Amino acid sequence: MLIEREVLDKARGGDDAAFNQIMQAYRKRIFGTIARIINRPQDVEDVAQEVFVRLYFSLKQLRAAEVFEPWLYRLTINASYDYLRRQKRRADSPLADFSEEMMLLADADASTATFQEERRQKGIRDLMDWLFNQVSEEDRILLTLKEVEGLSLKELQEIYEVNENALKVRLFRARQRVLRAYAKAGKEAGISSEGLEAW
Amino acid sequence: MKRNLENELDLGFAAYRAVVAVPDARPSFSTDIWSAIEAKRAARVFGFWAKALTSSALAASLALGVLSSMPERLPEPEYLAAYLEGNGPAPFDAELGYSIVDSETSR
Repeated sequence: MLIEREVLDKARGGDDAAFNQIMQAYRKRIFGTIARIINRPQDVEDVAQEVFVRLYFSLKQLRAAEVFEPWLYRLTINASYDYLRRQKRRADSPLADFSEEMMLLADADASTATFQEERRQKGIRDLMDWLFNQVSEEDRILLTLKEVEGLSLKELQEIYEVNENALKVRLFRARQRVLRAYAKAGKEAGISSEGLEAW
Repeated sequence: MKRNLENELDLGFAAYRAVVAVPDARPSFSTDIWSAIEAKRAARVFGFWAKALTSSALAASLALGVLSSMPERLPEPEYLAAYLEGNGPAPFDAELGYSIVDSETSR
């Protein structure tokens, strides 16, 4: 844990200074998790704020200090999920735009090295965003936590409160759905395998 | 050459992890959170009183409704007996041959 148990207990008792300490300790981690899940840097802070407000009002419901971190992850996941649901109501980014990104990537000869690198990074983020938009928010979050955030199965079990087998099945299915979308991206957008392999 | 999609996807996840942009918090981040907490707390207090007021108004109207729909209460039996006795026919005086009340009213 990034904080002492006493600090957590004080915060649960309504100590604002202790709650500030929790915010300071976990802010960076929460920002990182949200950024990887939602892939919108401009909105990360708003979602993080929502997480901390929810934390403040639900801290007394925490059963034991030992489960604080998985519990905080759950709050982060729920706030990110709500954000993604709101975003999904807007029109999905068309595959054509993404294809254009990849074309720009290939046509980077005339650009500077920095520009090329920025385009490459944007291309990766956009492709991953497009891929994740092809599956449910649940799949997106689960795969991000496992494959991008790098959480272990044990950590995921604690967060999702499911047994290992159920978790493995969920992960496998989510991955299959992303793989199908990935294969479709290659076919429909006319992106060559070299383009996608050039991660 | 056959593509290995699984492998490509793994590389994609790794590349995404490396390039995902994690912004820094604004200096006012903590202050903004405390403002949001205060606003929510105030809304909760207001909500509590509004709810309490609505509940008590509802309870009062229910109670009044129940009271007004109840049948009128009958008097207690002993009072009822006295009432009936008082309003019954006047006792007949055999010697006089008419009732006391009749004699009084006939005067």
